[in-house]
Amino acid sequence: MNLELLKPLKTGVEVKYGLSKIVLNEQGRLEACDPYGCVNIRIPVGDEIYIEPIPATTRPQQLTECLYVEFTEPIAFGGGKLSLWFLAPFELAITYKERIVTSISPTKVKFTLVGDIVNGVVCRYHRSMVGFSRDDVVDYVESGLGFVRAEVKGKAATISGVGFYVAGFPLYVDEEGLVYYPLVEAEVGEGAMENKTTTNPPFKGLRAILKWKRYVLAPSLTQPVQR
Amino acid sequence: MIVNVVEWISGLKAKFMEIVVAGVVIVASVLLALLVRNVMRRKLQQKLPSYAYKPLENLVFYGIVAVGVLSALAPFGISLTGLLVAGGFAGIVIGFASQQTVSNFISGLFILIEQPLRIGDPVTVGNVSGVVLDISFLSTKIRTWDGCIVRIPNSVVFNRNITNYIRTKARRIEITIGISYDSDIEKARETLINMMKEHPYCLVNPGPEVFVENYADSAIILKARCWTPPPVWFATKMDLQTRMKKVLEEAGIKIPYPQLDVHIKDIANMKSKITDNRNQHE
Repeated sequence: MNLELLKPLKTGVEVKYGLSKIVLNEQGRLEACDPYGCVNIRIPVGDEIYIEPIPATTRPQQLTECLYVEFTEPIAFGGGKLSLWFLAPFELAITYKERIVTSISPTKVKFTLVGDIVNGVVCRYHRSMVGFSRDDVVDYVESGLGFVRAEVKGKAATISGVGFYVAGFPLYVDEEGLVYYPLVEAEVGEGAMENKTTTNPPFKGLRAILKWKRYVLAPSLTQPVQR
Repeated sequence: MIVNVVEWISGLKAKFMEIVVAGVVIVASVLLALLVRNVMRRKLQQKLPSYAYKPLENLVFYGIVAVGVLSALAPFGISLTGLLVAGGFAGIVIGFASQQTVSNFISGLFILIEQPLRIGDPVTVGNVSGVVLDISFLSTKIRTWDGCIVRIPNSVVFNRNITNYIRTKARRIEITIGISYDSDIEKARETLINMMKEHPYCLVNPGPEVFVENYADSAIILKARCWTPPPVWFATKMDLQTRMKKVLEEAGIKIPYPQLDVHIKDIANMKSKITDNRNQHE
């Protein structure tokens, strides 16, 4: 289930991860497949390629820059401060000489509309178990799913999910190869929740991946909540 | 007399020099505008969306040329205020003479400010549908779905109904299909909803729906609806329409041909007719 990150992909070995599959043969032929198709690329023989997790926004095509994770059980937030842990999908980028050559999705893709049709935003969708600590959700980790920690503060509300911008943000990885999204700060107001993705890891001691990539600032995502 | 001629010649010389300088300033301003435009194209064009870049490029290019022309005319005593007054007067005259052009120009300004359509948007303007290629001050160019380029005067664009297919966050797909009267409606509904739930581009919220639209002569007409992100609307519609028949057939739901039930009252006569026909063939 865990990926061998930051190590070159071995030739002649088929890497299966979730619903995706990557093969690099001795002649430098790379085939990367997911449920939405296969990509074939030729790499100069002997050169190294890497597989790195990236935010899940590029497959089957880049239609969005955000994720919306709906909770299997909505959270009754009584106001003040609360830390939520849940799982969100990530994709695999195949990088060659510090450039992403292609990406594939180890999970099935769905999209949803957050907000209304005129002012809302379409985000990649995932349904996840939610808990108040990492240990609450660790048993539900599957291939292609990473941890998200959202720090919620503000007024009391029923929170049925969290939407947040992820495109261009760094992901983090722990010693076991488990993937983490950066910390999300959510503020509940009158009938809406404003969610801001930070570039900080959810806790100290995690390694940032794709360090060479330049990250962009993203706006806050506003989603409706029930009082 | 000679003094006058010398003065006239020196005056002419000075005037000539001023004209040359003015010419050089105008040429320099045009060259500068071209240079700035090239730099903008290299540095900015990729970073800005085309609907924002194109008007900005026009503004900068014509702004530099206008400043250059005004600076060149200054030594001749032609000031900006004078030009504006003259321009205003000329504007009225030209306006009367070429109402349509002025109307297009003003409509173009309103289109650029209000932005009911932007470069790259899939739109329908009146009866022309396609992708907006360019919006200039006088006209809007649309590349139709079959690849033709249609130039529409801005006053026409401004006064027509404009449908912009990409401005909303989601667009609905509607597909109707007929199933036979022998088929299980609930099973057909469930099959179609599951097909749309499986499709990556059918949104989870608003969710897909299927309902009986009509009890027609030969079939029960079902309507399937799902919402998609606008850029993949057409591809998703084509895909769903193709898959629909297959999934219904796999679920044992029949898609009937047009049919007519014939109730025969007098069977004896009918039999004799058939016999007659057979005899004719023989």
